[in-house]
Amino acid sequence: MAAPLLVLVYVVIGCGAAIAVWVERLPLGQSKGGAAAALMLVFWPFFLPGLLTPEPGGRPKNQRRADGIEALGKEVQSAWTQAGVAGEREQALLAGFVEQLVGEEDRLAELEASLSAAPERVRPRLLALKEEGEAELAAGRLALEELGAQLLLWRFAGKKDGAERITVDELVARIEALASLEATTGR
Amino acid sequence: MSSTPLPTAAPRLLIEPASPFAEAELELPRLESLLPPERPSLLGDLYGAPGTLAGRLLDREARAEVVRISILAIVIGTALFAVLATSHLGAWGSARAALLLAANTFLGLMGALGPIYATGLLVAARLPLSRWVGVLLSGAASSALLLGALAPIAHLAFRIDPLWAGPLSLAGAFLVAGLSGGVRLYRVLHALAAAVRGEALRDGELFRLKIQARMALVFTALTGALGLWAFDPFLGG
Repeated sequence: MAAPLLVLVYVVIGCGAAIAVWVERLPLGQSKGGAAAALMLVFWPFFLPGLLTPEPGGRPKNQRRADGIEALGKEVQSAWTQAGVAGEREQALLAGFVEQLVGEEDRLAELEASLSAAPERVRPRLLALKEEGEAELAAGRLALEELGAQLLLWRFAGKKDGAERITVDELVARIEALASLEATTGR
Repeated sequence: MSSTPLPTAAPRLLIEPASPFAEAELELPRLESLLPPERPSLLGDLYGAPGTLAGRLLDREARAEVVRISILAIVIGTALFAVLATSHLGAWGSARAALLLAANTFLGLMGALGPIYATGLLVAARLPLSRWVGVLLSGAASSALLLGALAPIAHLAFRIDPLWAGPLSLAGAFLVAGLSGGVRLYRVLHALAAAVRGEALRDGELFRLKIQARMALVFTALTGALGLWAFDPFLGG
């Protein structure tokens, strides 16, 4: 009973996706028109994510990065609260760090906007600054992601003083170092 | 009457010789740099350097083509294997096995996609689902082509001893193809991560990448095995 129903659902979704491909004349690789629609009808789980996922570059790059950092900050804050070990110092450190990253992002946005109008002789230096800023942002984001993952692990591991605790402490120390480095360089 | 010698093909000249009267060393362009670049075939990339395939997976248009060719390779590889390995079942049995094995492979891959994506979220190594599809299908395609190449061995084994050697060679072929597909998947994932990051991965990142590759192999093997158990393509029933 369940199998025919599942097949029916699969076929209905496939038909919808195939019609969309046919009407919009979307190519699937080198297949176009009827061939692309037929491919979509049978193999929609493989092709649909590619059509529905916006590619990097579809939205303004800066907006995407800033949204990502703020959302990531909220995720980590929430993970910390759920783990039940949120200290005030760590919370403040995290909030400050996210704020720093968003500020860095704004600075990068301004820099990118002024790059096209900048005189030739300062452009290489501006480009170097932009690369440095992007690398710092990436490092901060990575540290936040790792912290979020470790807190999730810690929440389910049960032991609050095990290896997970050490890793979280190390990550907090890393974030503190990154924050103080950014504060020292004045950015 | 002396015969005229046949013209022979001139050797391919790659560097234009400099004039012996040139006063200074001239930087002449290599003639081969003027030729249009040779784009390797996608089918070759399934077995070639993982970096080339990773480059294709980062581009939307090229990724759809990777998926399309991988589907074709999976259909050909699995169908060839099923037909040769079940030739003792007759034409109908072989055709049924070919159809069921290909369908089982695709169902297994579709079923594994969700848990694999969730693993990426859990280990903080997110990869967009569209790229996961390309990585997984290209790994499965290389695996299916290897399975097709192993088909004659299974065929011979079934002829020699359908009770022991045949089934054992069947299981062995799946094991070898699955492991090679897993290794390929890890290498492509690694190349993809390195291409996106633009630098070497750190130890922690490499560790999470390995977890993801292993879990992908485990989930695909599980869903594929469940499909084989449910469909019984090799029994000819």
